[in-house]
Amino acid sequence: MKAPAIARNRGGAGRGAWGRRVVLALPFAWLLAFFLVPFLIVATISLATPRVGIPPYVPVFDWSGGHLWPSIHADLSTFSLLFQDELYVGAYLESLKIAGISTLLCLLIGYPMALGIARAAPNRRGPLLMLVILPFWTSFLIRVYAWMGILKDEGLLNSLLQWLGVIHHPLVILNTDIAIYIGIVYSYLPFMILPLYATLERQDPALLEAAADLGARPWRAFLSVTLPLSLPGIVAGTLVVFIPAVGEYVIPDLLGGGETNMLGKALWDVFAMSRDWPTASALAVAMLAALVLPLALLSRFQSRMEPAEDGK
Amino acid sequence: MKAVGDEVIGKRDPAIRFQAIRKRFGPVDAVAGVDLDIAEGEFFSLLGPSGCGKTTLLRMLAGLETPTDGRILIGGQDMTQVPAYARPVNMMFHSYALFPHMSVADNVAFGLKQDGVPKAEIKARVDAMLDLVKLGGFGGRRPHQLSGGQRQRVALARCLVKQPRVVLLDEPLAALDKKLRESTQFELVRIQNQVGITFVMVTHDQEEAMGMSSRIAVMSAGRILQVGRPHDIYEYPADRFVADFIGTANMFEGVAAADGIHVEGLERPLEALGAPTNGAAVALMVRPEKIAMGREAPAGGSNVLAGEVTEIGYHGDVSSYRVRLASGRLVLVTAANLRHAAEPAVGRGDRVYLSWHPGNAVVLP
Repeated sequence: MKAPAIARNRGGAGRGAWGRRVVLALPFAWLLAFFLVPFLIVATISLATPRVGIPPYVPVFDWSGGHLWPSIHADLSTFSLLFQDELYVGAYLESLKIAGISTLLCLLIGYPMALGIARAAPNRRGPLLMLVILPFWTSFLIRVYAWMGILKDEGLLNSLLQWLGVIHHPLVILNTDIAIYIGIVYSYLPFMILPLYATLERQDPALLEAAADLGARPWRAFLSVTLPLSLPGIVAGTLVVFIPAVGEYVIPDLLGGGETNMLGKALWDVFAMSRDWPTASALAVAMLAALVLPLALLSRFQSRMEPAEDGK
Repeated sequence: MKAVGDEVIGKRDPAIRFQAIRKRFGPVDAVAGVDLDIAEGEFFSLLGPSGCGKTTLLRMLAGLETPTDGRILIGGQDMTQVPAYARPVNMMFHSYALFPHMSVADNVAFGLKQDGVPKAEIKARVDAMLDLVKLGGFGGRRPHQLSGGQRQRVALARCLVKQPRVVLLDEPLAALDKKLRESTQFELVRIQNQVGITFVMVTHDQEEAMGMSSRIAVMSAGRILQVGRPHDIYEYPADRFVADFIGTANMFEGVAAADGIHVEGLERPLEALGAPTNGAAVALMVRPEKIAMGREAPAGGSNVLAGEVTEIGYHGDVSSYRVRLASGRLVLVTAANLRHAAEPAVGRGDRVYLSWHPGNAVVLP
């Protein structure tokens, strides 16, 4: 009874291995063509020297010498400029700060929501998740513009608060950091909720009952069982919110009044206003490097969590 | 049915007392009024088919469900409204519910940490408990690195280590394979004897319940039908459901009269001890192993039925026979395979005579 089953499995694995390679090769090829190649181009430009002309930089690899190998005009000065110019250093720190605080807020707001949905009656979870995803059906840009209408001095929020008599003079929210936080948290909250929900919904409710049975009050049971078991979701949610938030451009530009010195904005200024492609490219490469490091650490941490996860 | 319980419990306060416990889920009563006393140090089983309310009763005892009506007393104290975390009761879950992110030792230590037991004492008690369940040296492992049987023992250690008044077992052996299940039965009873804590077990497996328990409550549709020692429940079932659910039963439905029980299709009335004579509709229950089977008619016995063997099931130690009577009724007989190999066996199609001592039949209402 058992032997043929094993043999059949093995045969399946043989055929499956080919299928698996094809399935994996396609996205790899895609990433190679549309991520790695453009990245290499950007990385190359970051080593070039700016000039006035088209393109606005001296090519790094110069084939005009008629040799088989190009002559290389590489220049690391753009990178050293990044670390010397207070504007860029400031933009990095500001971006990390805004993204960090926004991610934390998303986590604090998103966790109870995800937990609430995961603990709701099974037939209610679908509609509740739908409500979380619903905003995606409207253009991101339109939703950010809508927030301008809500937050401006004579906007919905101020009118409401004045009508209620809570305040007498309009609060200045638009074009401040607070507006940026509101915008980022609002826009990225679903990306935090979904992975959190996925891990929380999978948790065996008997584990909490066991914790209670062993004498843990609800809050202790949450801290010692629910929270640690949802770490993979916290890590995933934090990554998908933090990384795009660091490079966020539209929200600070529209809600922050364009005065905020974030990386995305700095990059745009250098690229489009100053037409300094090498410096802009160096900024982009440095931003990526700054993000890859925490990412690598977190994924290492996550793979360490993994065995504990399937050990149910 | 109460008499049996009272006799075991004696004068002391019962460890557990259910008073008119009722639990309603939507329109149905999962538990429909249960009164039950469980004595200190008992190994008590709640036995019944799935959906009979046994697990709900156990969960109410643990504090994981709140009864709709009634009171639960543990050690004489009313615990009906006490939350699960404050009850002197620990449960071994059906799925074991081990914390996957903690080591075996941390799993066992969890309950003690909640009580603020000093670290050194926790370590000593956890080690002692792991030794008791024969898992010494496994403390550093994660649950997923253990076999099913080992996980089961971690779960047991985790609920014993707090030295609760009562340990609750929810289908503790269901997830184990047959061989392991049998050895674990003895193991559980050994451990229970050693620690002396009251055990309450939920199971749908009657063999498990019979082999391990001091007493059994048979449940159906939210009610307790009978409480008693395994022997009492098997030999003297209170009604037809219990007789049928526990073991195998041959039921002869008929009318009780002065000369015996008249069963349709049988030539002579069946003789039974203590049967009513008032013409009441009753069922006479005879266990398959209580029936003697032979090729020749026994001399002068009452309760003799002639028939033909239609099927034989060989189980090694015993064989079971289906015997068709002249009326077409099938009677189940089991007999130990005691004869030596040379003796001719009863075969299919053989004519046989069945008989039993009147004292081996039970009259059920």
